Amino acid sequence: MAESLSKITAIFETAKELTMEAATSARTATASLGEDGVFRQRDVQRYLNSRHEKEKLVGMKAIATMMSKGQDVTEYFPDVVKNSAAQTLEVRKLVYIYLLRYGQQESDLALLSINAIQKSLGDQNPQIRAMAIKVLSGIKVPSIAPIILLGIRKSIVDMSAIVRRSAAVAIGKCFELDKSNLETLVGYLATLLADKSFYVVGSAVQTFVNICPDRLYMLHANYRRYCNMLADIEEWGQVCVLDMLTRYVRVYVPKGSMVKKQKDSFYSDDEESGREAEEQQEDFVIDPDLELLLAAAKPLLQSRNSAVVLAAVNLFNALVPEADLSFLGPPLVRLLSRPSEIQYVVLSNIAVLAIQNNELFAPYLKYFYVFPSDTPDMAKLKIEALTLSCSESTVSEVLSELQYYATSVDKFLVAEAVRAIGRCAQISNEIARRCLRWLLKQIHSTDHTLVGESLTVIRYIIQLSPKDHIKTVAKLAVALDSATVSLARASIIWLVGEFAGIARYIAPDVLRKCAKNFTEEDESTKLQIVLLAAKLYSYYVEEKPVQEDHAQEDQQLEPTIKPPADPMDLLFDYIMLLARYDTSYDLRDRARLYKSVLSNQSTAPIAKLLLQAPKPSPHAPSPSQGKEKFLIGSSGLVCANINDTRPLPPWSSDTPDASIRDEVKVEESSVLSSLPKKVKPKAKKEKKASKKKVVVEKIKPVKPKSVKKAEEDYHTTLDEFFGEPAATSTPVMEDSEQQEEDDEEEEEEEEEAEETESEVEIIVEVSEDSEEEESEDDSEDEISEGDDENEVEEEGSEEEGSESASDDQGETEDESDDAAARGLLSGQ
Amino acid sequence: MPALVPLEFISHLIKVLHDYFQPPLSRQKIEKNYSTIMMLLNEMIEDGYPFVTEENALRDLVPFADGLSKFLPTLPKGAANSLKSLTSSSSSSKSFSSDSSLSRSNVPWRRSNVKHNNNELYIDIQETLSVIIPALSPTQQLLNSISGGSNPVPSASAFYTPAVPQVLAEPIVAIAHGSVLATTKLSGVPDIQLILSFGNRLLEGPAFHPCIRLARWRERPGTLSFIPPDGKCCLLQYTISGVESGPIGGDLKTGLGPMKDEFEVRVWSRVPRNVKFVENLRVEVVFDGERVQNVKGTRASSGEFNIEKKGVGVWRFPGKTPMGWNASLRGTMVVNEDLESGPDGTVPQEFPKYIKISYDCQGMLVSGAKVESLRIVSGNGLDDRAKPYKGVKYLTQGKDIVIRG
Repeated sequence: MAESLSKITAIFETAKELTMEAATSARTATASLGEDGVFRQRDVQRYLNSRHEKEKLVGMKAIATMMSKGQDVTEYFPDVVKNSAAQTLEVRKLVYIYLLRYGQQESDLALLSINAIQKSLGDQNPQIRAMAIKVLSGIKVPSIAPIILLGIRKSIVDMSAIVRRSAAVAIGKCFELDKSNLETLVGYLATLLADKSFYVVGSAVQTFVNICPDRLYMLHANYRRYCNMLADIEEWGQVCVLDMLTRYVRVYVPKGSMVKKQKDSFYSDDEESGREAEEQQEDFVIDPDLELLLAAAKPLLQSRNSAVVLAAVNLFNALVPEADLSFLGPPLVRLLSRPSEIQYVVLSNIAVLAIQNNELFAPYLKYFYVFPSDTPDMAKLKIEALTLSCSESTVSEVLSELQYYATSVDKFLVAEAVRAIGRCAQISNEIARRCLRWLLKQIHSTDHTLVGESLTVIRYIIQLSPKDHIKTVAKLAVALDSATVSLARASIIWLVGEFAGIARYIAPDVLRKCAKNFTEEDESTKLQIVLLAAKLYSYYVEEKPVQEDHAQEDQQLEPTIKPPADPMDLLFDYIMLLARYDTSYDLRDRARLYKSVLSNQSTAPIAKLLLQAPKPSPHAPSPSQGKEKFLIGSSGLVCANINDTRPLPPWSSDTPDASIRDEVKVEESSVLSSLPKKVKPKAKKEKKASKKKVVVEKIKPVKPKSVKKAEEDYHTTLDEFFGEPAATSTPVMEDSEQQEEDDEEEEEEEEEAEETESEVEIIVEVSEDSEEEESEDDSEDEISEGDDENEVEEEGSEEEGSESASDDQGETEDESDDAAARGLLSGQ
Repeated sequence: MPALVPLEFISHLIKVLHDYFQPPLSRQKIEKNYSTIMMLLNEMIEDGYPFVTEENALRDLVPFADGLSKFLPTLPKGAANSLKSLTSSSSSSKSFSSDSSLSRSNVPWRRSNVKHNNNELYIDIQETLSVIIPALSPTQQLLNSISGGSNPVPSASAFYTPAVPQVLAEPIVAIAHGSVLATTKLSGVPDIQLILSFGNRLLEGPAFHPCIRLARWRERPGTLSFIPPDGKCCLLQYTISGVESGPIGGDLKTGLGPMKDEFEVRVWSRVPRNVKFVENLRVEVVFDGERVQNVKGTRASSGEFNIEKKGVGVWRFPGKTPMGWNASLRGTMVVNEDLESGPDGTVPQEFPKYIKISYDCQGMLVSGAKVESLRIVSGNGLDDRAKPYKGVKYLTQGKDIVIRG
């Protein structure tokens, strides 16, 4: 006996192997298609038109490969469309992708597939229903807009959250296709916004932002619910929801405020809270609704998704900038471990935040130290963040770090660091002096960038308060003797000339020294020497007539008896003479210009304008200055040429009462989501329908009735109705015993689904052969309805799947019936 | 659209592609799987915005090409076609057959109906270390030179000199970015509690996988309680500053030798706790590529030193480097003659600007973080006797250890 058994098993084994082999060989046979990278049209068409699903799949994969390579495969349109009702999910998915890509171009042919897709909307498999609504709305053929609308209407009350979520996205796509349907679509969207599944809400809000971002009033009843479910929404949805709640609060929730003893102007709007607040001194008072949101948003700072973190940071920054936001620092610096492009965006935002609040990142200076592996853009932002966040107590640490960068090999880093030192100098006079001392030392460096940038910063510091820096100019003049880099020499000479008006003793002497080796200087230096001469001469000319009246302190400039004998005149003439015979055109031209302007008394005012014009103080803002107008996390902040930023609405001064946010509609939402629940028995029924047609007839009338009942209740006494959730199911059960049994069975299964998924798995397997038994064995527990319609649905449709396959034709009819029933259910 | 949404999406996409096709991704892999990638993208983006990006959720939506499922496509309707006979013979086609494709598990990040023959669970904690050690201050240098007198600078012939510099500069930055990774291959829906300890260190803004129950963490920091997604996932990311500077130390001295034109780089491994070796140790010696023509007279006590690109010389130690070891490298920078001279008319001698050390070290974490305990609280679908937890691996990666000269 045992022997024969083992024989049989062995035979089975061989059979299995053979089948496997067959499969493998089938695969190798078909996989030869396009193996050399070339697809012959005839072959591909043959596969697409094959009667075997498997070969269709091979054909579709070939199409997908060609599409991915960027080839035009529109010629296969008829062959592909034929497969839009294919049995295999994978084939169908590929067909749908094809339709999405080419539907617009071949709209006439695409319409052929619409029927099949529409039928899929009533499929048992929620995934197929979701796909159908997705494709329907994605084929950009305007004429089918009404069909899409119908599809959406059906899908928004679907029992599966997957389908409702796809419907939410479809609403946005339908709006793109035909904007005239806005009002209808907004109506549908309102239903989804109130959906109780967090899975749906994220996408619904995303669509809301796309089609009607200004209708924030639609969120009144959802506000608190969103706050409570925020953590459960998927991460991309969180980004949208956070942004939208931020806007909502600005318009409809009173602003939080630091309450002092005196009444703030803010409280004139709200006498009561003003009085209340007066009792507590120096407290940050915020609306409870706002507090709810803040509490809900805080955990999102710990999201692994950096986009969510920034959206949450934006929320805090936009809503409670006055509060202590020190907790925003750690999540942001933690993001500096991410890939460099993300780091760049985060650093850009850190810089903007630091401009607004320089204490925010004070404890995290170390995170902004530049590593050699940082990209130049990152290094620049890190240096900026360092400069913005340092305070008087930390500045010496930061300065020594900046000084290290300033002497590094990297030119870019050098320039940025020196500029940053200039910005640090603004902190206090003491620091400015320290910076200046260091910068003056750098003039002797051989690094041109360092010298050039240092002089720019020196000029900046001097110009901030010229009177205090006469000594600095003198130091510069001394440095000129040893400075070798021509750039440095030119800059120093320019600086000395610029401050000739205040440092009167220095400039003429510098000119005298320069005149001595004029010919050995570089051209740029020569230009500056000529300019210096002209400047000094213009001061001299200007003062000449006045000098007669006033006793002059200035010995050098005091005119002696004969003007030509004055050293100033002599110097000027000498330099002009040298310049006149220089090889540089530019130099000669300039010299001629200065000479003609200055030699004539009548042109003296022009000369003065030309040479003594006060230069605007060089503005040295932090590079990110001006980016505050962008929202934290927005693209505009990072890319200057993207202007997608919708500014936040201003704080509304006249906010409506908080009671508008009472969750009246939340109950309504459970009405809406309870609708699909009523459908569940139907789903069950349908399974049986294929087994026993009789049952179908008996049960079907029940469905509309139950819905009607629910609707009636909704219209009359909402609260009462939902006070007792059991009430909804009772009338349904009364209608038929069969129904009741099913309900129980379902609840039972739901419970199990909640408890353990693995057990569900077992049930699934069992239910295929003996579902009835399974359900009868179950005890009759009263369980509150869970969120797991999906689970139940899945089992149902799974069962359906195996059966419906047996008779395809019959099933399609059932489907249309089903569709009609659903149309009723959605309860216009 | 917020700036980070596309960037985050791309990093998710890469993760998903890794999940489907195993790293490293190659051109061939991509080309072979165009249709799968197309379907993935179709699920991942909807209306120009990320839609389903969770690896486990995608596994339920897009056939995962491995083993039999590669050529046995899904049969949502039980298949009234020729394939029925094929699939019925093979149970593994279940992995993407009707039931699993229909259901979405009620744990959004975990795919449904997970079954494994061997239940396994691995935890990996990785830390990436970034350190900046400043140049020694003049007083410290003085101290070193005094004591250095009695302890002569190692010559080229001396291998494995035991001495370690007497005075070391304190790192000004020492940051460890850590991540706790779990690789779970567990059937059913296991519920796991993992308790980590970080000593007394402060985690700066930890980030969690959505599966982590935040309330538990708040109650007792260090507790990760979760139902894991199937496969690989990153449970926790954290950042700690002010950590130790790691198992490898180094220093850079300049102005040595009779002509005061030599530099010396030294690296050493500290005496370990339970680490035997570090791997892939490499020291980059960075100098001014514009001013330095060449490095001459290099003498390395071990390892190989080569100029690999302009301004960067790399000193490599292939294979494993034992602990309690050290090595030194001496040389002279040859200055480019064409450069303009300084104020005193001579071209100043150039020295390396800094050295950068990188390595992998298994078995320890610089932050001192460790797994205290791991418990499978409830493993529905798991054999009670099964001991799936196979242990934890610690890895410290020295990425950017910069020692300034």
